[in-house]
Amino acid sequence: MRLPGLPGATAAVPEVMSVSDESDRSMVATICPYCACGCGFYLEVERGQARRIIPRSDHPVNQGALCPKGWASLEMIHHPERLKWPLRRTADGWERLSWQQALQILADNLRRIGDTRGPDALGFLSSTKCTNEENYLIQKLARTMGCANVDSCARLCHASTVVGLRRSMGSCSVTNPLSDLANSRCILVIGSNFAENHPILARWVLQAKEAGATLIVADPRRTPTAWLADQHLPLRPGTDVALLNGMVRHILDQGLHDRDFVQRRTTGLEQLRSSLADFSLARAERITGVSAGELARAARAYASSPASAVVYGMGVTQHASGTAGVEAVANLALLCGQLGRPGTGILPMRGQNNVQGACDMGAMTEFYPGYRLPEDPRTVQVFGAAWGSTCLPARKGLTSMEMMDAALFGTLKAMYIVGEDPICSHPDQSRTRQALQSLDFLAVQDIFMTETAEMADLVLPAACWAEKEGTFTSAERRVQRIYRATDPPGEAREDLWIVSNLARTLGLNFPYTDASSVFQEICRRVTIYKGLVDLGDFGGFWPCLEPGKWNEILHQDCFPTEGGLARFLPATYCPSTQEPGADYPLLLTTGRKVCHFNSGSITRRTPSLLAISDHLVVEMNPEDAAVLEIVEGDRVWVKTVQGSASGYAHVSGSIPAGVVFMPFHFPATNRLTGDARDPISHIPELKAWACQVKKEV
Amino acid sequence: MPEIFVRLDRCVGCRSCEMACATEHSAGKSLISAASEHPRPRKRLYVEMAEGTKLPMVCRHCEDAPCASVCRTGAMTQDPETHIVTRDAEKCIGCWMCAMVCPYGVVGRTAEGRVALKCDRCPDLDVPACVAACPTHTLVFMEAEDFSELLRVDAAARLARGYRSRA
Amino acid sequence: MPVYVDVGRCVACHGCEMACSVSHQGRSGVFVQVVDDLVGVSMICRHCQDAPCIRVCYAGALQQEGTEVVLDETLCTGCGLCQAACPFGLISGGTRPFKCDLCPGLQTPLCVTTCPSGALSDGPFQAVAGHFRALAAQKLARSGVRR
Repeated sequence: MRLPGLPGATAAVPEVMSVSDESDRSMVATICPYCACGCGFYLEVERGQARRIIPRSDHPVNQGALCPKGWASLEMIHHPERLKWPLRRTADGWERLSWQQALQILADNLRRIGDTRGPDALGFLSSTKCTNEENYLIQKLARTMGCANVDSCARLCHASTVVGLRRSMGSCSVTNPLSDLANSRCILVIGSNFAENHPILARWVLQAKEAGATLIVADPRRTPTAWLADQHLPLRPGTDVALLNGMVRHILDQGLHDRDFVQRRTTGLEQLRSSLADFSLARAERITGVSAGELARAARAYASSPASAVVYGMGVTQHASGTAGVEAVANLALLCGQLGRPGTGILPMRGQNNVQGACDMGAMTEFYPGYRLPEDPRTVQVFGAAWGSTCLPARKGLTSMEMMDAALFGTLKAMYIVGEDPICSHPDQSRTRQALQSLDFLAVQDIFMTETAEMADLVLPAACWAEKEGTFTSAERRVQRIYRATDPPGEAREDLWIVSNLARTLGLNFPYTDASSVFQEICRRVTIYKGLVDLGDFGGFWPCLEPGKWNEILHQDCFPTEGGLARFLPATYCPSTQEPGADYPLLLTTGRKVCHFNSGSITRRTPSLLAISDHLVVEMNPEDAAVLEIVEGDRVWVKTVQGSASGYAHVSGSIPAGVVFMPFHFPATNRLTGDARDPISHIPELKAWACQVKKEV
Repeated sequence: MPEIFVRLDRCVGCRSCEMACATEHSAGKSLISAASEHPRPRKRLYVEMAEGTKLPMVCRHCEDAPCASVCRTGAMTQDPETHIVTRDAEKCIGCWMCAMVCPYGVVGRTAEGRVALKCDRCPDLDVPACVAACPTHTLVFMEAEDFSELLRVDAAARLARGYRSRA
Repeated sequence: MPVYVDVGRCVACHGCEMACSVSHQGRSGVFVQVVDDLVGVSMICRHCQDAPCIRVCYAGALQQEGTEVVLDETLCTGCGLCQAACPFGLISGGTRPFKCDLCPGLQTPLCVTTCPSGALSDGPFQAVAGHFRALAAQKLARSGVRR
């Protein structure tokens, strides 16, 4: 179906397109490599150099708009610090290798350790920045070697979404396109700062707001997203489940729920009701610090509007109770019947350009491609036949968090990390460092010498997004093509080339010549991608079973579960283990800033973004700052049980007293976070840690 | 201080107020002569249609007026006593900051487009021209207290009518 | 036409700033300010109708052209008076002044098209005031008071 009010593909010629007659200048359509919105722009290439970015005014996602990171993506392509040659660590420093040598070393080590210690001594981290094709090949490489330990950084951002939403409604993605937010009449944003992290969303949300929609933002901080809100609920970090449960209980008590929807499309309401027996609004108020009146107002607005959407982000997922948080979100939407229609839905905002695709391609240890469970005998049978392999693991392996445990424990001996920087992105940096140090062999494949690559035995130079072909799947399930605009620097190669050649060196059957041959196989093997053979200018949405036919809105008539019904799952609120106490009186929460991206390995090397923000800030409330005699710009030390880190104080009323905020784009931040994790999805607790702050003397 | 209030349920969109405003701010101050003046006299309030309702949008002379607080040249000033916001054409540089910040969109500009233009609440008249011209008494000029009494009386009358029809 | 800013929509993402500097050899005529961590304001030359910068420029480098204030660098002597005169601090660069040129050659200035939240617009004056007026009227109309 087509949505009302959605922009169609209009003028195909970009407004600022200026193709000269010179034959050495060309315009290459591509997709932004940063967040998961999937904005389209052209790269203007002149004599092999990407010169200019021209946003696509005809692109349905961004309509010619682009955020600062998108503009700055040009600076990573021809960056002087790009890795150019395969490197091996020697006693005297890095030694340059040929590709043949490098692949042989990598293959030998993987084979040696796989043979002597068994395939479970290997660990593979795939990259959510890589294309679908590359993710497909990396997980295939791991699994055809008999190794189940393949994961990606989806573990760190939305593993709880994948697990939680699948359990309750059978599908773990955004239900409605991002632009459909413009049709909402009430938008509840919880734990997402989209104004900074997915700025393009502001466009659609404000459009809805001008048409009369109510915007409710639940966030401990008064973020730029909260600036736009009609109602801001400043909850205490880590109490999202309590907030949502309180709202759900109030809706049940007041009879505001959609009885017809609940009866026709769901099961388990009674369990939900009984699980919330003791969850009064007053209790929610005590836990979250948001007044019962405000909670009731938000609940009423969400439940009674004709079309309400929930947008959530890592504020919900990155908790030791992340899965419960996601299930609580699902309960709210199901209870109010706010699914399957324009303007409704659940929108988990994914962080990376292809994190959705990486999950779709099975770069998570719980799933084979297309979310097929390894425990299902048919899965191994189907992929075994397709890949000509008899040793596919019929079980879930280690998650990226568990790989670090296993490395410390000595059972995991080698890791092959593609486009990830666990040193910066994983919690408890010293532990991660120890884990990687205790490996026998570590190979890192990246575009820059990241903090993790510095520790590797072998470093392989990869091509960045502008230097390869393939497909990305954006947060809204839109699968879009990217095209090769420039050549990789030096001898850097596409990840697809590296992985295929590594597989051949290992003697595996990888008969792929290019990205399109891999994508053809994906269309054959991954049911939800079956019909996506022709992606056209603006891609296509999965699930797509027949070419050109897809539903932009999921769950219109039934849920992809057995029986077609969604389930209410009682979401239990567990108080955070990290209660501030005498030693550590403040609560540290982490997040993102508009001018940086994730571990910062790219944005901390981008001059124009550094010009806007180049140091680690520690945001704190004026009350706390006054007690500690800290003023704006002071250098401060933040200390937790795990470690300490320094940054510059930003004293701001936008953060509540007792809470400290640090962005995680700088390596120091994850020295502070610890190793608590969600028992079901293994997502780490990165949003609430007890800490103390001291002024540097 | 009396103010201009709008009774939301009464406007029929006749635009008499707009015409009266432009006329009052013309040189000849008559409808006939105003029509032939150059530059053409400009209105300072606007009848809007929204969701099937017609509404005259007129400057609220906000207590803490955004247009006056953003003005960098001192052209837009607010009388501390009366809260009336007026603009000094000599000082205005035409940067349109006031127009950008007005939440009601009632800062306009002169015909030649050089300086900002807004309601001055007709300093020469006892009752502003727009109010005097409004045939449906949508626009009223009175004290805030009197205005709420007006609404109250109206609501009470409706209640009374409802009671009578029930009986 | 100058670029108008809807302060209520600005989320201070710096997209306009980046787009401007990318398309003007690294110099931006747009400045994003965050006030009290509560409001974002994208500051762009107002192209004033009686511009103080033109008044002080004795070299004739700044000129009014229609609704725009245009800087001719070849005439500029680099005295810096315009920077001092601008009431909004939107002429930067001291002796090598730089200001918003409304992106000659483009139908719409790049900052306007690039703004993710749609906070910037370059329509005619009437459209801007009219937009706010329409929004306010909608709000009033939604109050539900009916005849």
